Amino acid sequence: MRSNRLNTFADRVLIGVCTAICVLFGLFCLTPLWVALASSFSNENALIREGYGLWVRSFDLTSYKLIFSGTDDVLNAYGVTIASTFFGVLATLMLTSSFAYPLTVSTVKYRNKIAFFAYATMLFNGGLVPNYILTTRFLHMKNNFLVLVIPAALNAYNVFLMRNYFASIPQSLSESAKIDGANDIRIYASIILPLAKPILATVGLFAAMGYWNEWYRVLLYIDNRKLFTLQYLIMRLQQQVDFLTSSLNPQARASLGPVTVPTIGIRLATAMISIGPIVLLYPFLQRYFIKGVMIGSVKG
Amino acid sequence: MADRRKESSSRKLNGGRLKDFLKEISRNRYLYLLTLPGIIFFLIFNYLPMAGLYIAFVRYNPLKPFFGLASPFAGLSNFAFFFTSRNWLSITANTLRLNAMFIASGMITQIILAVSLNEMTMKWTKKTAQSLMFLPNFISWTVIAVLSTALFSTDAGVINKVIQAFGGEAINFYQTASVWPALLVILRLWKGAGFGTVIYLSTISGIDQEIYEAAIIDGASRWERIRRITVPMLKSTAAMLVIMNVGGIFLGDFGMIYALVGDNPMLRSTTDVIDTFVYRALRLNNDIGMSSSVGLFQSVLGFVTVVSANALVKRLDQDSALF
Repeated sequence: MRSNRLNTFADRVLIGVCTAICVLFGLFCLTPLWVALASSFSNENALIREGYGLWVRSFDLTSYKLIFSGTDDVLNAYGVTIASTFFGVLATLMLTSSFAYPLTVSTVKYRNKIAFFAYATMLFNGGLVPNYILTTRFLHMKNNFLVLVIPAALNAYNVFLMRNYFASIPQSLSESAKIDGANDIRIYASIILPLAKPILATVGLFAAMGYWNEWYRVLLYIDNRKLFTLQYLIMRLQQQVDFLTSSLNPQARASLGPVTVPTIGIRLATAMISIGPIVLLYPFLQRYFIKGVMIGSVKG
Repeated sequence: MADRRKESSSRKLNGGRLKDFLKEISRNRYLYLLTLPGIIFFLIFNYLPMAGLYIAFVRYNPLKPFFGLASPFAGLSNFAFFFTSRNWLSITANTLRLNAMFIASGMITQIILAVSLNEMTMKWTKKTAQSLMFLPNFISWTVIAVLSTALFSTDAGVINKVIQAFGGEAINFYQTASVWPALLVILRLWKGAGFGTVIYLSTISGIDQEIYEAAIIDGASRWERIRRITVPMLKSTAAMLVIMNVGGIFLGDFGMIYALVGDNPMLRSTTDVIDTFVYRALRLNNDIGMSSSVGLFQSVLGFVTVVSANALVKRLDQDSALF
């Protein structure tokens, strides 16, 4: 775009400096992930002896074998994480879109009042204690899978993202459908939603990230090991290094022989498999995420 | 039909408003039906907890009716207890200090990265660098905690290995409170810088190319173009983002701090924020009075800052205001 022949020496130095800054920051972002990946494939004793590093120290798959076949906890947490992400995204999209669409229909007299009803939740919140009492004593959702799905399913921010998108769809489409005898729910489901796929994808993707990385609600509301999410499992492993050791089955213990259980390796391997799907899907989804950031920054 | 209409207009004087309301609801019944799940959701998950803040004013007894809300009224004694303890100053100061550091370091880094990315001429390198910067945004704090052990642990951590290789003495990061504000800033930049960079970069790509062309004709170097065109054009975006972040300055990032630091008492003096304090008071000490009064204190301050930040944004740029 800007012609290169006008680049003076100073310009070229500047481009070099800018390139260096970006490349270095990119490497800064990559390095911790790389170190953890390399270490997860390392032999535990070598790791402790020589320290973490950029390269695999004595290639060893024991940690991965242990988390997949030595204990049920990790696969179980994977299942919980996948299920809560799936149902969570479904609930988010259904609740958010159905709430946001009527706010864009000009014949709905109370639409601004309802919008304010949602706005107010962005300004003021009850905080941890009332929420904790509500969830545990009023809704009785302690140790209930639903606590991982429902409370995060609707927020005002997403409502306004969707409302803005719906508002850009010409009203003439729904008006002509109305003349043809379609009721509003039908218009919403078969005209508006199919046209709103881009915003559904954006909100759905960000919601999926939120559900996939959820551990806060597990920390607060779940004691039952069977309902732990992957991220929570990782947090327990981080704070209590032998957390999974007690749940290893006898065969896995026997097969280890005299070797001690690789607690650091297990922690790293669990972290790696939890971010695996994100890193693998990231190149394909990146542009949708970037689009989502820009939509959100233009108007919240 | 005609009779009905007459009836409605004659009743308008007394029960008219209710009638209008019902009429409106029935005319758009399907649309109101669509909003109903959301309204119920907000009522339960957002409005009930607001009412529940009343807990801060009672001597909480879980056995009392209404989920303990009918406990004896205690006035402001819960608040008195919190504000006379020395904790409130240190956790409020930590929350403010950490958030201020996050906001300032984030803004500077993001602007530098966005401007640098924009100047890069090698397309593939630019794309890869941007992808790598944005990736950590999707990695949770719990995984980052695992990664940071690999970097900061005393015996095997990468950083201490490097320090020792240069003949220095290993730092015991997990027992040295004074290094944590800096570590948290670095980790925050690692995770969050790419996100803000995307926003600044999109602002830059929105700048009219003719301005640059005119500058080139006038003989402006690249550096002058950055200094006199790109950076000034980012001012309003930066102002918006900073003001919005300042709106949330009383909210501690519980997910970050708890995942990275946990309940480690050695690091509390610099890392304990309002949110981790409230969590500890609730879950570890089961002190409902203390935790709910601190929570209310935070909600009120949060409300004031959000509303004033928004008013400020509105004054600067009507379209960027949150509400």
